[in-house]
Amino acid sequence: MDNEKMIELVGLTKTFSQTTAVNNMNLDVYRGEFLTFLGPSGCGKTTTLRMIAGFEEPTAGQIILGGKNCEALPPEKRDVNTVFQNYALFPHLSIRDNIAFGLKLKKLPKPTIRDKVEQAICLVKLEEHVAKKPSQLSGGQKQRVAIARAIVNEPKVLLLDEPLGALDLKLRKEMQLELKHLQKTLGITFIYVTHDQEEALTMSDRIVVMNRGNIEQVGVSEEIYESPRTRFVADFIGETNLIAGVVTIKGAGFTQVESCRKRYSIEGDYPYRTGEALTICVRPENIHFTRNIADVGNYNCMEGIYEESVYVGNMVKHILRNPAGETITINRLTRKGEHFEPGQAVGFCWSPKRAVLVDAQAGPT
Amino acid sequence: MRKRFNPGPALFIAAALAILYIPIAVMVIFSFNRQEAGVSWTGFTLKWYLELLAHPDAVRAFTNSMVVSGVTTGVSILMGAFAAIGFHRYDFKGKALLDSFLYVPTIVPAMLLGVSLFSFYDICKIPLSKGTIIIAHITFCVPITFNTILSSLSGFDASIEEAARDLGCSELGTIWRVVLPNIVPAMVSSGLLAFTFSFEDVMTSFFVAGPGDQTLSMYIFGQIKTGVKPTLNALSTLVILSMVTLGIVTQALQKREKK
Ligand SMILES: Nc1ncnc2c1ncn2[C@@H]1O[C@H](COP(=O)(O)OP(=O)(O)OP(=O)(O)O)[C@@H](O)[C@H]1O
Ligand SMILES: [Mg+2]
Repeated sequence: MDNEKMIELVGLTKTFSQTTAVNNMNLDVYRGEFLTFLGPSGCGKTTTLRMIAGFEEPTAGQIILGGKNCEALPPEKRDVNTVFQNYALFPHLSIRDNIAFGLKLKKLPKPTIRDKVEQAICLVKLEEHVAKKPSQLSGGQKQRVAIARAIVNEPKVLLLDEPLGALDLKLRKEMQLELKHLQKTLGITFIYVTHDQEEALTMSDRIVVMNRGNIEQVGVSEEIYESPRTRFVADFIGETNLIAGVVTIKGAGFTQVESCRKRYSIEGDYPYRTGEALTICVRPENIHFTRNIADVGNYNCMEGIYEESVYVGNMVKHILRNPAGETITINRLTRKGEHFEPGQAVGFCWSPKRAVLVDAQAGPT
Repeated sequence: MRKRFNPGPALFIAAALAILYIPIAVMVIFSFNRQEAGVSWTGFTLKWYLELLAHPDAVRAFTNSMVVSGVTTGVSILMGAFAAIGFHRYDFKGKALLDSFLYVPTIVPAMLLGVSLFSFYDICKIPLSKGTIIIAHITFCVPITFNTILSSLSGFDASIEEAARDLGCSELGTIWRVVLPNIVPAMVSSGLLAFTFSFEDVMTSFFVAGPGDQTLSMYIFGQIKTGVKPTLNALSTLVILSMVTLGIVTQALQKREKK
């Protein structure tokens, strides 16, 4: 990934009669980058891809592909290929002809086409099925044909709309590695859409978290997971505990927040002012139990009523309720052997380094 | 455990088949009968077929029919296909209205269609010819091809066309490379239907045919008035034979298409 901009989205907006599917989106995508759009169903991921590919005309804003505004370019003139969410294979063509479709249109010499198609077929492990028609394949096989059909053209940018959605777990993991490897060796810029957070976190160079047509946060995986900037991101990515509070002191490098009549210190510089309402986010794996609330150093402590435990293999999920009635989940290793009775008052604490502050409300509604 | 044989349904099917096919079978058999009138079999002969060939009217009616139905079918398939593609791809004002208009010619009685076209040609001073028959046949054949092709397109996912564009096809190229190949079966089967409709039409043709443009159906209709002759049996047998061949060829083509 270098610093050359491959795609620039400037104020990109798409409004359908009722809904705003994409709202004033500004984003730069760099050459050779693996960028993932992550967000709940209906947040505008597919619509964004369709605008980049040229199937949907933006209501406002611009798409700049390789330095050129491509407003007037039809889809076939854009150096972008798409792996469609519903495969969109050509029903009248065999698998081999499906994959060769783009190369034949480019009028490449026949032997070149044959070699490239064979390579692509090997890559997606469809050697036995090349002569079949799409209707004779399973969902996962179709999906692999769709990937091969796009990738064989070696476009500058490849748009992938949930390309592994129909695969079983094992094949999915394999294809994730393959795709990532391919992306690196061919140097193609990937814009990837997925529902699956784990997939997003492991594969992406950067992640764009979307909600209701807006970008909530753009960043590398660790940033998105460790320092969510909005309540939506904190809540959507992984598990998290959300504790409402009000700023009492805005110090240098820390912020003091009051919640349930107790004060908590959180490290970091935040733009919140004294008296402002906000939310403390703590991941379940960053909370410890404590017997003595008074004696925990600079840790932030809270007391809760124990509700239940859920065994999940190497971990136990402890569910508590704090004095404000918020549910607190604490993940602890099973081998620690911690055990509590429902209704028991239990103290727990977390490090000031291990919590982040976000706004009080979920993003714009 | 084997089911016990129940003769009920079998009898039923046999009766239905008999009603459908016995008249045809009788006609075919009697086209080879040596005796000219009567119902007794007096020996095999091909003389009625030879006599048919010597009838210049019959031969001309046959060629007329081939020309009329052939051209009608070709034009109807093309018009139906392009209308259906346009209808499927684009939204425009009055689309629903146009859609119902395209059904109307199929339900208008053939005679009314003939009368109205006849007066239309008369008003416009268009001389009656094979061309006027073809135009008349196209009016009721296009709705057939159009509706069949449109319904086959409605099962066709729009994103498949987008995929073709995505891979470098122009808009027209997409129609040629992706849309048309996928509606070929519908084009062929609706074309066959249109051919049959055109071939067997007497009513409409009767009003709009010029002198000497008699089609085969009109010829047969005219001959009936003087009683059923063995030559007529021979002619009908030939017609049936060619229709069946056409049907088999189409089915074979469609099967190959599916593979
Ligand atoms: N052609 C359309 N007409 C009207 N509304 C549309 C159209 N396409 C999408 N929308 C709306 O735009 C919003 C975003 O849709 P989009 O398909 O981009 O979501 P998505 O993020 O891809 O969701 P998913 O993860 O379920 O695929 C949705 O509310 C959807 O209903
Ligand atoms: Mg989508």
